[in-house]
Amino acid sequence: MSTTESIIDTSRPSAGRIYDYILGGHHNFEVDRVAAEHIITLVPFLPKFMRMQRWCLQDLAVELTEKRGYDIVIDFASGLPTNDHIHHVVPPGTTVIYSDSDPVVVEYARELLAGTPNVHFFQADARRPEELLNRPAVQDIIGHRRDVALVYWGISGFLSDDALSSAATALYDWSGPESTWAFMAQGGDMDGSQADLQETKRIYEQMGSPIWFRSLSLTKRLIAPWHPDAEDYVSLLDWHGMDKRELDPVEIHSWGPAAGGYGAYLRK
Amino acid sequence: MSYEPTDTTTLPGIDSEQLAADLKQALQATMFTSTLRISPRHLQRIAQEAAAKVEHFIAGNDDAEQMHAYGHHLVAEGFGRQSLLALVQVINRALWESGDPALQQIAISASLTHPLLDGYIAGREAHLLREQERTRVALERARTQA
Repeated sequence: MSTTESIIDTSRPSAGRIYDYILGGHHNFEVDRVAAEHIITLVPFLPKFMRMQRWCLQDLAVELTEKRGYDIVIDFASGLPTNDHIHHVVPPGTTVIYSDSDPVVVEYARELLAGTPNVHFFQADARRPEELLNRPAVQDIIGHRRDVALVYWGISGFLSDDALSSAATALYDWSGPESTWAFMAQGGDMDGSQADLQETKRIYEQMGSPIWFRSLSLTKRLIAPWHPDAEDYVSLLDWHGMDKRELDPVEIHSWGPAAGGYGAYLRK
Repeated sequence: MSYEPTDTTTLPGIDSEQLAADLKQALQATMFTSTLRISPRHLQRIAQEAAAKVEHFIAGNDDAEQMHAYGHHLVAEGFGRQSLLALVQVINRALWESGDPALQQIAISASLTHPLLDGYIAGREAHLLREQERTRVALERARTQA
């Protein structure tokens, strides 16, 4: 889920490694853990949110392949393809193309995926999806097909309004009419003006990975004309069939009743 | 030894359905402390598999080595420490509350939970070392290419 910053520099905290630490991974260093713990004191709900967000991946992988019949899934800002990621649950023969902007993630991922058939990992920037999609190596893999499943999950909050809008347009222009875009609108009903979230925003900016809190209505406008299918946008809580009692009043105040985001299957 | 999932049937001396339900509840209470794979949708399956492992151990079909392998497997499932401890607590309570002296002896001697915990700890250590090495290699390659 990293965007602009490179985690080659291990002397400074990295958004990607902080994400990994909060999810219980070990692909992080002391500087990241210190920063992560500080952020958690500001927004204690963050670990819950990140887990709920990540848990969706396997669900959407099954939905896109087994239920909707896609045999090509292209995921942006993938992070590490650990054993909870898309390729672990898709039917054999499904082509999965992961990507991330971070060169270390790419190298690590290639080692993790070595010998895994039909699964590929490229370095690419989620702000400019067309650069990945039009790459000759990718075109060879997908046989120049355009009706595919696209995934942006856990990245929208790391994209500026302009970048999100531009990426949505690029995906729209590139993809075939039968494509589906699995998309998560991070933030949703969060009140981004609160002091703790503003401080978190400042920390991420310092790391070179600025974040944006935006309403669902603004997100919808930015990614139009993509629109959700009949299931519409589903809050993270509802996605997992969880009760609102999972959140305490302070968490609901900060993160909104959607628990920090909504997921949807978007169509053209 | 690799871990093989087993089916849930009736546990000798233990209410298997109740055990699976209690295990699921324990996992639900600790799922936010676990890593990645354990999501609400997986809890039922994991609880049933754990109940089945207890059954096979009690029936003598599984031994300490297999419980060790199962503990190792739980690392791959994404079990955090809190989830593992909750699992062990529920198993011990079920063994004790069965009222069967043989099963209570399993709880007292920790003959089931000791290899399970040991396998988990060994699995975590191996996982950490593997990740450490992968991180080193990835950083080295990325720096070379930068």
